[in-house]
Amino acid sequence: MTLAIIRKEILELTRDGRFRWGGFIVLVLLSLSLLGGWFHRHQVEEAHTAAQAMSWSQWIEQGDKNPHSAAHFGVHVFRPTSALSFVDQGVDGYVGSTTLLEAHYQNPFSFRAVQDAPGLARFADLTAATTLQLLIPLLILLMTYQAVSGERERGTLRQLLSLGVSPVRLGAGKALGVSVGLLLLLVPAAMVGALALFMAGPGDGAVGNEVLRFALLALAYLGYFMVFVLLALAVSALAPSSRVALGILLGLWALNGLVAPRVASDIARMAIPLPSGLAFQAAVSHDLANGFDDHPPQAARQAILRDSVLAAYGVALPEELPFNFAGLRFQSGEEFANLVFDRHFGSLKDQMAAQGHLHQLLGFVAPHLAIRSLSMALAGTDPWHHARYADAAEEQRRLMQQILNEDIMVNSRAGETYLASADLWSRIPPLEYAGPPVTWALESQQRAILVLLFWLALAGLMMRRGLQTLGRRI
Amino acid sequence: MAWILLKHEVRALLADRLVWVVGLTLAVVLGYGVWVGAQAVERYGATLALAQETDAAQMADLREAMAAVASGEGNPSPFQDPRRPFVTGRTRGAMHATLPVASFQTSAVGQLDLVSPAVLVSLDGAEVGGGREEIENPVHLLAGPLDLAFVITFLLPLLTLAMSFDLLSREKDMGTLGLLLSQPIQPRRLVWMKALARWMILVGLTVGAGGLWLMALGGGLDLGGFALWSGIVALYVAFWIGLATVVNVYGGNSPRHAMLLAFSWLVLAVAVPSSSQVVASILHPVPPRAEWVALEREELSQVQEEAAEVLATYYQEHPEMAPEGSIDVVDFQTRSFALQEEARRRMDPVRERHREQRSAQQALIHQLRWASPVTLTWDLFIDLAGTGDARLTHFESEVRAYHAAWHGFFAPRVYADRRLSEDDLASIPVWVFEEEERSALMARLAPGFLGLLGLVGALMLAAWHMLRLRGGVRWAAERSAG
Repeated sequence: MTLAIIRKEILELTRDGRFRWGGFIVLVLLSLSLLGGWFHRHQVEEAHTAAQAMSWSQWIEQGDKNPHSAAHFGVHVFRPTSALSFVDQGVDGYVGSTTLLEAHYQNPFSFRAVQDAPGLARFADLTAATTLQLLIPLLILLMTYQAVSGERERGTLRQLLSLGVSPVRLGAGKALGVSVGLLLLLVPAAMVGALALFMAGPGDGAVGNEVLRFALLALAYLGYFMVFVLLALAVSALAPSSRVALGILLGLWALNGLVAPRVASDIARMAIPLPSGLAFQAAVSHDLANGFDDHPPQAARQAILRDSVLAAYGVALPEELPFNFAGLRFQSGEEFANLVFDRHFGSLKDQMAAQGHLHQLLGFVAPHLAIRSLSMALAGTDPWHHARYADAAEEQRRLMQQILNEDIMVNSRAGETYLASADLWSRIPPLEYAGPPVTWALESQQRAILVLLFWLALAGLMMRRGLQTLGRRI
Repeated sequence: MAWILLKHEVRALLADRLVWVVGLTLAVVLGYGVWVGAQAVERYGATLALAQETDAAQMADLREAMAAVASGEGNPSPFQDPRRPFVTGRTRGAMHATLPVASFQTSAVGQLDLVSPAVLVSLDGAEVGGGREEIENPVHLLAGPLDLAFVITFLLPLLTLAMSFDLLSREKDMGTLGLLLSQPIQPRRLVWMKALARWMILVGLTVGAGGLWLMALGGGLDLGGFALWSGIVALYVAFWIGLATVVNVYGGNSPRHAMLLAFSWLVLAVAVPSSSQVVASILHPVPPRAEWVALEREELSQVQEEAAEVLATYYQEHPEMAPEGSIDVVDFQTRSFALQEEARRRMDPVRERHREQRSAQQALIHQLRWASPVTLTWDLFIDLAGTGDARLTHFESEVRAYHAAWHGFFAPRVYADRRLSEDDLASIPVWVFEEEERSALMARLAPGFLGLLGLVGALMLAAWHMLRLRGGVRWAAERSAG
């Protein structure tokens, strides 16, 4: 009997103009967004790879110079793009793409791609993720809102129940029918996605476990769609008429996909405020110059270092030391600055992570927030992945400064002109970034996963409740 | 008769619970939208104030340092010496060019959550959107704000359709259409009055509540801007009601109308704008700015290798700038400035290419806004609020002009290796932003405004035509069926 219900649902769906037209629109948009995403990724990746290679050869071929001048010359690193960004570009366009690794400063990543996009482009930013998170749920609602209420209005529900079909079996059949109809759209889309992933080739290390991530993305979206199938069936069963069911479902859809993400941003911004760019910069500069907590100001720090080193070596002047004091002074300055950067950038990172967790928790009100977070994380385009790359770049900067300063200490003498060559520049290892495995990505997403499971359970319970009342409300 | 019909329809609508739900929802989201806009303006204003405070403190510090040096008290290093035009023009005296809050900015956040309102102008350059960026959670930027412009462009059509999808079919569903048409009422007039009643309620509520919220939360009302905004709202609501009217007049039942109109919204608000954006970005891709970085350094390395030649050429072309004696003893800072200038000059084609491609994409997308009334309206709103591409482009050109003046003041002094005096500080160019004339804004808004008007006219004409040609027959059939 369940099979018969499923067959009937599929037949009805495929004959229905709504499904055909809606499915066509969604499929076109999904293909277009996958194509656009693939094209975009290809373009960015090509530009970044070329710029990265050029930047590294500039570093190696900078000529003979003092290592500290080289430290100021620095080297740029460019954020690699995840191979899965064609599915969900996440915040890729909204975070900086490059930074200069140089002496004394941890530079934030700059050049957000979105800054070059016209205003209208942002308004109509179509990615596969938008289609999956917003449009497919809309299609599901439009396909399903009449599933039970329509039968009731046509009088066929009474007939069905009189045949001895249990309401739960009826609901399960309808849910499966809609799901199979949906799969008719999603399977080709997923195949296009898999093909795009294959064409993108092996990732350049932006993320690990790409295939597993893709499979989990598909699973997460299936779960998300199931929430809507079950919810729509529940509302269709509980609402007094199809008109009311449609109204309620469209209202919920707009609240979930259009209103909630924006309101969640406002709540997060108010609950965990971030400093302004100028204030952040002023605070970092202040600490670098004046110290913080028990750390004295710059001049005093340098005097303390000088006196302690001279005392340890039992000499009166830095020139009498067995190494160049300038190198040690530079390194000590770097190490203090690192504390300041850890303090400020670390706190900013914590604040953003707290905002991210709050977004996930707000998913208990709107599941869109949970799937958005999980999808970006699996695609490797969420703020956590970006922060991880920024940390790796900063580690590289620190290593670079350490090697250059040690070279000054060991190989140069105070008062002499010292020039290092390409030998030293090539001793700095290039930044070989190994993208995180999927398990790392999921660590920050426990709340989002919990929220999705909660919604699945809630929607399932609601559908059960709706179906249980069928017998009483035919 | 028309008046009676209208009065009856308004009364019937006010008795409907759905209308009250729609009205209340609309009033609440409008208030929220205004609050979001006001918050954004407050943050924006705080950044502006901080930039201005920083500039004032920087200038005071500079004057103090200059006075100290003049009185012989200070002996700063060449990298801190305020008398050196390279130091003052590049770091110690660098000032912000700021984009002031526009008079109707509360109504749309537009691009201003991405672009910093304060651009640092120095001898190193001045790039709108190219300097240090405002700190913001990227997820918030991705989501975009729920501002008034979003409420009107996206949510108001949904609420309008909720009130209008069964404009006529409701009567049919309830079986009252036949009764109505048995009265001496022209079907055409009945339809117009039903549409007009909805339009009056929605526009009245949106403009009324919007205006009140703007006064209460937005810190006042720019009457000119509000009048234009109200005009756009009136036309936009008329478009959606017009669409619902055409669908209703064409025939069918309420669920079918709801579906058709929901799909229309999906196509006009999402599918068409998004597709055109994807097409524009494929046809006119803007190269990532990141590529500048490496190219700029490449040019600088090249120029450094040709340093002697670059300097010789410069002083050959500008003998009046050459310092006394041989150019071999040119000051380190002058030398480094000359090389940077040359590298920048060589980079100009790359920047120009980027700008051209960006303009080409912008121009194409600007044209594509005609593809949907939703994008057309959105564009009108952000332009009116002063947060769209037009005002930002204007700001960009003002910043470029200011940077040219800044460069014109400092560069000759750097090349001639002159020293600045206390009096020179008063002559440093000062940033003044010339807001564009309202007439220029009106001229820009006019085509979009007329476009919306044309669309509304076309829908009315279509409904009128259908009513004339098929209305009688179809309705008669439905009446007999009813």
